[in-house]
Amino acid sequence: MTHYSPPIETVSSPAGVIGELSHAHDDLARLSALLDDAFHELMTSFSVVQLVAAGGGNLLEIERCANRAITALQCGDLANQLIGFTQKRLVGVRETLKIASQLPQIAVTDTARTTGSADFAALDRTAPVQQHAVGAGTIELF
Amino acid sequence: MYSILTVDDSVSMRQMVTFTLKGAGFNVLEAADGREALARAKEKDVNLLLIDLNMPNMDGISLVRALRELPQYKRTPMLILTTESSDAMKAAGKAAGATGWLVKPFDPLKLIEVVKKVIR
Repeated sequence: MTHYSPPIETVSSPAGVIGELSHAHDDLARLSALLDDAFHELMTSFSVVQLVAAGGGNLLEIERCANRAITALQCGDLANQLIGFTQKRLVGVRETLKIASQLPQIAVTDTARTTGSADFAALDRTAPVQQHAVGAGTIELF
Repeated sequence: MYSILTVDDSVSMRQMVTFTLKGAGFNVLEAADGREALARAKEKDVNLLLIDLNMPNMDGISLVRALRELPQYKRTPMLILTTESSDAMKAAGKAAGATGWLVKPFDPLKLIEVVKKVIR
């Protein structure tokens, strides 16, 4: 599955690199929580289906479980977006460090700026996925 | 039968929207990005669109804006279905002409409910 991701950009300062790594850490923690929650939801759904199949429930419960499973399965899309953003951040950091490793230490910051690095303020944005669980999202009609 | 066009670059999301809405009796068409959706919508009139925000080639807000310029889509409901929930993005969607804003993941029953409420 491919997901749109903004172009990769380098950061222009050590603080920028640290910021990007912190964002990557937080996004991976969110990804882990999402996967755990999705696993729990899916296992609960399967358990109910198993119970119904054994004669201990009704069809309405199966429908309810199917709906819960569809909601939980959407974690795949959320996870892909978080992975895409994390990859973008890490490649940006790698490119920055590549530039830095080729320069005398004192000139790193200025040269990184003059080699086309993006303004850090523009790069320092959070991933669109802020969910920690796969519970249903919101609906707003304009 | 009402036709709905679901627009998302994620195959799994399109499949889940299609599964949910077909089960509720709707005819569902799919497009992988805004550009493809625009072409499909011009080929065949649809009664409602469910549109992801971040997609290659043409994003969701640009798609809404482009469709609203077509006479046949001036009043067609267009729901943005996205992970984004910031007020700024919602305001941009509203200004482009979106009918509503749904934050993923969607609850199938609530999706069907809102679709039935706004479709025409």
